[in-house]
Amino acid sequence: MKGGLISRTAVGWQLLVVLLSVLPHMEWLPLWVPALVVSTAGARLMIHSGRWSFPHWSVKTALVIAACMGLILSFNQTAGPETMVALLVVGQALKLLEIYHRRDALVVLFVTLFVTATTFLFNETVWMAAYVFLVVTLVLAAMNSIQQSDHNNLYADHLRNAVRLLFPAIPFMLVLFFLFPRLEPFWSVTLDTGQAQTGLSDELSPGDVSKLAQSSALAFRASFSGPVPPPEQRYWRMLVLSEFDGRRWTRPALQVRRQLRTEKLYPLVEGQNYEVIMEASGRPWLPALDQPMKAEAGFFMTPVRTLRASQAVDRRLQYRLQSVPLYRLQPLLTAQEEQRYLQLPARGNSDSRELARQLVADSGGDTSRVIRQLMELFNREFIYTLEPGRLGRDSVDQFLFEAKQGYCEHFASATVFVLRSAGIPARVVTGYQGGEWNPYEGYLQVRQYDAHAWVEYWTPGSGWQRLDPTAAVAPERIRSSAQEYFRAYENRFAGAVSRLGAGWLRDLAQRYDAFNYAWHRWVLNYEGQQADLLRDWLGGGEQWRQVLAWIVPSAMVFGGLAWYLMRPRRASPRDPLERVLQRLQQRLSVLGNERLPAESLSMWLRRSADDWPRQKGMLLKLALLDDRLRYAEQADPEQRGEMIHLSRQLLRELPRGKRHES
Amino acid sequence: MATELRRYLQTKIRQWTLARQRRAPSHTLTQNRIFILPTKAGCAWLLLLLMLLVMAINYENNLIYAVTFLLLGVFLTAIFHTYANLAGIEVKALPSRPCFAGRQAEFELELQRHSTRCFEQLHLRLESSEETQVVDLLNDRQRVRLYCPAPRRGWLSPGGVKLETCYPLGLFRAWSWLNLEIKTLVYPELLVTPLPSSLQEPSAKGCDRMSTRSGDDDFAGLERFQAGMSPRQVDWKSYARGRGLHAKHFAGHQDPDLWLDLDAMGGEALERRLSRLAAWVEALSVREVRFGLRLGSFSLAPAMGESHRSRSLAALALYGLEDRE
Repeated sequence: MKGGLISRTAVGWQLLVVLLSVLPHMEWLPLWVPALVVSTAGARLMIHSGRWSFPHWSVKTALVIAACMGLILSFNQTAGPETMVALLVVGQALKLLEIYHRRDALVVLFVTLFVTATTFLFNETVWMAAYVFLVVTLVLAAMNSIQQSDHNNLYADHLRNAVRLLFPAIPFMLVLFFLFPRLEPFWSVTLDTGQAQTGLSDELSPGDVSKLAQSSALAFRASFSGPVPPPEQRYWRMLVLSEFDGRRWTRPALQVRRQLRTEKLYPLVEGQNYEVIMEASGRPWLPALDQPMKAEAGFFMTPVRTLRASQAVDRRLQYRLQSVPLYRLQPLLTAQEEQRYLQLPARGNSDSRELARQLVADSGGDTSRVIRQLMELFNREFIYTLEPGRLGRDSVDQFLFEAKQGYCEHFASATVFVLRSAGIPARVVTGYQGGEWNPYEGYLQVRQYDAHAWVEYWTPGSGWQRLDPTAAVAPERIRSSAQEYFRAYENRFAGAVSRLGAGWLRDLAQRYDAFNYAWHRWVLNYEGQQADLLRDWLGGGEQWRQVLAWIVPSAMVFGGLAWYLMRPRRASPRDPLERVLQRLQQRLSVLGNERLPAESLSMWLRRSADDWPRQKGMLLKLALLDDRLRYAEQADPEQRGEMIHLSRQLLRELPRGKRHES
Repeated sequence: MATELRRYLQTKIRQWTLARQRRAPSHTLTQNRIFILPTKAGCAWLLLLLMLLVMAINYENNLIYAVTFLLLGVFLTAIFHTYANLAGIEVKALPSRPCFAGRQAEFELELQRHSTRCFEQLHLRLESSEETQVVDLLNDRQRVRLYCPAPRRGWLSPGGVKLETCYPLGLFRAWSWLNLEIKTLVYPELLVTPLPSSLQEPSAKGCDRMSTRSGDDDFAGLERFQAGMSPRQVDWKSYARGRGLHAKHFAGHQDPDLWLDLDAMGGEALERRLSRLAAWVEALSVREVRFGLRLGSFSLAPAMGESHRSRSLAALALYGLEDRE
């Protein structure tokens, strides 16, 4: 169906929706693509207004070739969703130059719908969802406009029709959204949104964590089914770093990691259940509250009991965990393992080694006394700051004896160094500490500035134990979130931290975040809750209940729609006189005195009067009054009342059914 | 292949629905009569949804799922809207006007709605014609004229009337075939030839005066001469006798009307003769001349005027076909 030519209004709609559908892609499309769209839309506008004529085929061919070359150059022959969307956008732009028929217009609109839907691959915020909904509405209006005849070219009409079509589809969509099973991907796809992700890396050198502290980006959110752990227990482990080269802490080499045996965990109390929604980090490591009991299907537990996903977290990820706050971890170490956690570079940082020897001598070899003394030293003489200054070669020595100020990674690194020098197996753990409680939705939000590094040391029998040197220097940092700590610490750390403002602004930000959280939990990551939710709502998860849960609301929606569309609709005038006259007209037409289209009311009344000898007087009087009401120079207001009265009386007297000829 | 199949199915559906209805002067479109199927655009819409669904599954993107379901909802909603755009319309056949063969026959229908709903973009078509009329039914009643070619004289029945609509999105086509009682009389094709030496030469073939056969000699008496009488009829003898101007009245001149006689037109094909007669009837009617028509055993007394013209043309149209009607 090639269909007829489309109206000018329809062309206007086309241009509008094409531009609106490309708009959200502007930020990542190579600049020439939006430029092409704008220029072809502009050219079409010129054609539309009659200033230009349709381009010659050679111009179109040249444009197609140029656009293809551009795509090949810009996307480097990679076949990802970006290339697909760019290809569609270019096609859309070129097709704009040759919309003549309904079919052409439909092609453009279908591609527009597709391009609009792909927006969600790159942006999943509520605002974008609202925007896409708006564009879909406009596309429907555009589709309606190409079906309209030329004389009905009111944009508002088309829009109203689109809304009428969209409205019943919303409940249908909701039902299907909540019931439709989420399938596994057919083939694996990678999506590079081109945005650099922030997060912890797998190595730690001085300044790494403090760099993160400048970012207020969200790292993850967590909600607890039971009581929420107190701030000093909110240690989110991500990585365990045991290798030190004098400056950097890293994980053991891959082949070494493979040979490690998984550490044994003996929980001492009940585990607590919680759920984490993690933001894309571009890396596979997942935060888990100290200490996770076991990994959910699809994730791995590394030998050092940190969690990782099978691939880098490129999209928001949701998972459930059970963690235990009190535990005994790996009470026994083999000699080889113990050696690994005592490993230090052969040379360097000699002052620190000397400090360790001294501490051991002072405490008589008691591990806990060594630690206590070291912490007291930190507490006495050290400053916790985001701007510790640069550290040179012997970084531990410089930190311990010269700078005496630093961020968590400096303290953690120095502590492990000293402990190892003192013969105590120790390692650096990185992750997040704390989190801000959002009271509106009941979850913890952990931001990048909550990134933290701390220490685990090992004693025979007790196994690995957590030690946070930062707690010794700045205990408030552990009890509150990093944000609150630094806020109290003046506005020295402007930038990220203070961006969230204070007072009502902060409250508003929290509410907004709560809203976003609900959006993520119930819309973007709606998947796992499905089974539980359905069981709760439907009283069971059987197939027939699901089918029923889908059919019943849909039937209600579409039944309502059918009734709404097909209901008998007679215009019912506001004016009581008009209304009663209409009823009289209906009654008489049933009785065989139908009013002809060309007949005036009084003519019809007079004609009918002959058939009703008893009511003749009333009918004639009504006709007279009507004439007078319409044509007399001064209408008497009481006359209307009289007419209503007469009509009512007629309605009472005239038979209700069909007249029986006697 | 696909188009052939579609055409075949459409024909079958049309025949089936038309056969189920009784022929009536008016029909109301109800669910018994309305068919609805997706158009090509509707199928493309489903394909689009499938692609979106694959994308949603593959990228595990819930919002794309939502868009897919929303558009599916729109698709289903469109069924109801398209259906409602036909349902409830009453189609009434109005008396049709006859036409000449070889021209377009005109049929007038009245569409009537029984609610205040608007019915937009209705495509009307006759079974025997490809031409469609697009109507927006925005008032309570609206008249539509449909045309179809009238190839032959006689009664013409254009078959069923099709009402079709793709409104509002073009995703669905709802249509209905109505077995309406519409027919029109088709007059013979006009074959314009000069009037047989017209009125001055009444003795030409086919156009006959009574007198030529009954003879000039049948003298019937005298009557007062009136202006316009032929000088040959003047009774000069009695004028000379001083009795005033009288005209000789012959029996043949008692009825001075023209007779158009099919049998007196020679050996041409019947249709050609009828066509020629039809053209003469038209010409004579325009000139307002009295004429009579004789078709074999059937004859129409001489008269003139519109009703005489239509009766003559109807007789020509139906000559030899009556038993078939």
